[in-house]
Amino acid sequence: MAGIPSSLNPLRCAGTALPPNVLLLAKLLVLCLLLKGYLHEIRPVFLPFLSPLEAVDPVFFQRTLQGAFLVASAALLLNLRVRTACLVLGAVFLLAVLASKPGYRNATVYVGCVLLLAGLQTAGAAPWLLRAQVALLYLGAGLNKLFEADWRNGQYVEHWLVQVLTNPYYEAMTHGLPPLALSLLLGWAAILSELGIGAGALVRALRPAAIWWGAAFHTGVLLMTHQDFGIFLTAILASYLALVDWPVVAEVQVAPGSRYRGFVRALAAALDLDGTLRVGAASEPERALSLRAGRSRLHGVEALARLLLLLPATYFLLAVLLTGPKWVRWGGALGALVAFTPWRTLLRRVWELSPARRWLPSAPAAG
Amino acid sequence: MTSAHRADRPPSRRPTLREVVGAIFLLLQVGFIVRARFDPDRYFCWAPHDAQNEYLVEAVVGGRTLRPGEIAARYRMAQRGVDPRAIEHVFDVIRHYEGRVAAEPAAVVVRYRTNGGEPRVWRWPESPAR
Repeated sequence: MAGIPSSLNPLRCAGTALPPNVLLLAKLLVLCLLLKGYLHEIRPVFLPFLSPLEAVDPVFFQRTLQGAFLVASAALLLNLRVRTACLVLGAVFLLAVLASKPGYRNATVYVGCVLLLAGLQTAGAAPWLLRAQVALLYLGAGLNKLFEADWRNGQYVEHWLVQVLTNPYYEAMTHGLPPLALSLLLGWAAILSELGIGAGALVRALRPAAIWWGAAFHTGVLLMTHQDFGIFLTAILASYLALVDWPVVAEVQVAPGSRYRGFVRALAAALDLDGTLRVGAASEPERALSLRAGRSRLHGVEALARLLLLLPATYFLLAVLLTGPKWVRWGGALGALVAFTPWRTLLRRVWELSPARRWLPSAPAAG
Repeated sequence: MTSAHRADRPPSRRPTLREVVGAIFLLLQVGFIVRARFDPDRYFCWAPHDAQNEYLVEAVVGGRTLRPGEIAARYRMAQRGVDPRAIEHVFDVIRHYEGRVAAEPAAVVVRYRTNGGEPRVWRWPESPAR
């Protein structure tokens, strides 16, 4: 990229009017919208929600929104006037929805809302508007399901998986079970998950759990239904970036002679364009790799996973995988969930909370 | 970037105009979620996949039954399909087109089943008793 200023690099997310995690979130949405061909989902005005739109030339309206989408996307990816670009993108997708009742999709509305709120982000402040948006989406979805009798009694899940999706694995799993037993379980799991993730998004201490539970929940739905619901899967996972406390600096310590040494240094040199990683020698030589970011202190594989999660390039790769063909999507979602879940920490916490701990002689060694 | 990005919003700070606009936008969504309890259309209230509606649209214009392609062109939705939102969305598209756009109005029948339940019928023009 000789001759091109590094500030224009799409993989760079620091140094703008938006916090890095919010800018990264917005860029991922735009990348996925482009990859999934949402330019052509912006259609001419037809049966609009707002009657004044009936007076607008339908094709002129479509071309204008498509042009604005392309220009604002380029500006956002190149770090130029990022908040304005987000406002324009949010307005484009909300207007596209308002212009056509047959084109109404919750996923498109969500993308429009998130981009608009990213554009309304105050410089230097926590992204509480976006956090509230994530919470509202889940609480709204959970409440709406809770009020549906067919969701509560399992009929919805049963009909959807058997009649609509003809899922053979579901049918095999229900073999020998009482009617609607599994669908009842899955229906309530979905309702409680959505309400739990929505509430978790609002409470700082619960946000990490909400993120991991949400990622597991959506991966489960993807595997069960084979559907990514258009842009929804990538949009919701990307919007979890608003829930994290993105560190300014992460201290990475690598032991001399460690197998991680060359890899970590090469990774930081090539992909850490924001200068988040400070790689140094280990103060605890017995630790091959350690990472300290904010209040987190991780070691070994968990440190490596967190290090990768601090690089925008990781998310760009995941976004490309999740917008790919079915098997690539499955592999990407499942692989990311397995690779990036801090299993040791998670199991230790579960163990610490477990009543069994009182009765057994010793706890497993802390990682 | 400053370290303030890491913290939640200080409670003592006055909200900016951007934040006020954003908060109003979020409150509007809360209003739509509440409205969904009283209105069947379920627009803008985060109700994806609340129901699976198998539907079939039949339309007659000037005594002639429209073919599937003509129905798709008229309403910009498939003649037969599964709508994963409220069935009211299908009715609303037909109601809007026939009530405000159609040069030649159609008599429309929508046969549908929600979540595999009992078959139901919706007609346009709607009867006053509905």
